[in-house]
Amino acid sequence: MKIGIMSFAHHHAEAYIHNLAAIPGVDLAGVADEDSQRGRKFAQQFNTTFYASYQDLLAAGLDGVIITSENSKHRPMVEMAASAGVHVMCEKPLATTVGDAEAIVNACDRAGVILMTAFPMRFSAPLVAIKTRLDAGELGQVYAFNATNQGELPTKHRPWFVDKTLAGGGAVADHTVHLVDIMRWYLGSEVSEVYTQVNRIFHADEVEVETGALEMLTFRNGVFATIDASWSRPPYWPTWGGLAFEMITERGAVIIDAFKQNLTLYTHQLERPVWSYWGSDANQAMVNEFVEAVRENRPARVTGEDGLRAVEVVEAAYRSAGTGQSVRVEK
Amino acid sequence: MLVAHVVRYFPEYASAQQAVAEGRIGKPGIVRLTRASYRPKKPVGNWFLDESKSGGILMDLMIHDYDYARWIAGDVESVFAKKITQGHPDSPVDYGLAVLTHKNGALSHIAGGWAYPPPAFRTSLEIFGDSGLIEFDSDDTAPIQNLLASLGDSDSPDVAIPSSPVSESPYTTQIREFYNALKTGTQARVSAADGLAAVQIAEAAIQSAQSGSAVHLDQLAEVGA
Repeated sequence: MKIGIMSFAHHHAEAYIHNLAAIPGVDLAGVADEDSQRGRKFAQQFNTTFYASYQDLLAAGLDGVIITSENSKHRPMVEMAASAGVHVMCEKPLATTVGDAEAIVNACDRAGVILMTAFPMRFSAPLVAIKTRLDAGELGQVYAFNATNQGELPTKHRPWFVDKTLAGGGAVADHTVHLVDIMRWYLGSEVSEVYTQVNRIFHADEVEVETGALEMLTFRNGVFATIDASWSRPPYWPTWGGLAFEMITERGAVIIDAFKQNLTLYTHQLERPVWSYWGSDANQAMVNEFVEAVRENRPARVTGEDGLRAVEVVEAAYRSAGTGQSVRVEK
Repeated sequence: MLVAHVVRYFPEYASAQQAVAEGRIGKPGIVRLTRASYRPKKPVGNWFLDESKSGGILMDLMIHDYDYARWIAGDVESVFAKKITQGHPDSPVDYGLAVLTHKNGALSHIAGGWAYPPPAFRTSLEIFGDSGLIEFDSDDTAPIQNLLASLGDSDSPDVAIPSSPVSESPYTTQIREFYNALKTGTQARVSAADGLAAVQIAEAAIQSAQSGSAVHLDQLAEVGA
């Protein structure tokens, strides 16, 4: 099977290439990048072909592509891949507007290609374990979540993460969608209302987008949930950030920290403790699923519609932040 | 008048406030406070569970942390809150979540739970500043872990009380400070106006949970602008 990479704007492209290499029968067929210098560099690093345009890459007989461009450029790239009849895994958030996310879903529907949104947490072993217990009825009725997806300022990876046009916003656009997707997956219910407050106290002089954000979601089934989406972790924190939540049910509470499976490592090289993750690689399981879906020509377990639903919540969160009141999620 | 917001006298909370006041972490941007245990017991005549007497979880339990959030980040401008028993009055557990927006732009996230099996009692604080961060978790900092077989009748207290062994109980520290305030006229760290402001936040949280809307707080004449 031949898979290509469209754009290295998102640093996850590098991780996905390692994931692809670990799957028997899958070849990295080539890469394309509008930043040709960057594209050539990574093509050389990963010993693959650099294509001068996305069209050339898509014409190279691909089965699927992974799109890891800036958020606002997902739409034209997915549309290009869909017209070429190539299956797509697209980085999250699916788009920076609900309109673009809808267009992405529709383009793939019309072309009959698979569209998977890259939500790796659906494949996180601790999160899957809780989903299994929930579905078995072991935990009883869920009432509330107290959730955090905090991180450091992402500019150390790529500067465009703090560009409002390219990223779709700041911390809210970056860190809302994972938890929204996890909760939708756990509850089988959609978000109906969102309340959001944002500020720019962390890195106030470095960026123009919000760096602090607290959100409160209400689901149609009555469950309520807070999300702390802030870029509040200092760069010398033991790791990049994290995703954790407390889930309150009629039986009590379950506290889940998706990235807690770490060694604490002390080294003369850094002179501060760092966490060395030994848990399972959720990205690998996610890329495996994309490859399986393409092989079996079936919808992926995480779809474009899942990506669209999360973008709807982000758009509502920004509307709420502008008014200071809770707003309904528009469909 | 002295108001017994004893959390301000717990050494971990007092020490974190002092670090903030000394500028160790810069300007607070996000303050996260949690306080969770089991439902207060005594089903007959338990005033903790009688909302008209205790105010419920958004008042009785979470007021400690509204007060502490004000101590750290200053006066509060608006409140948005929800609790389980608003939508599920017969739920066996209760849990409240509140988002406070401070006048200086800082945000506080307050979580309160009567949801755990006894005798669990957990408190935590995280104060994220623009040049640092303070964390505290009662479980992670417990100096003693008991993994002992039960002696049989090991009933938990009717109302959970947090405790980490320290040389002077925070309740004693509080009484001592109050005594000194009365005797020598020194200022206690909690004023009557602080007590009033915390009740105002709690009332706004209850109103928000009932209405589903954010509640804007009026400036209190008793609390300096």
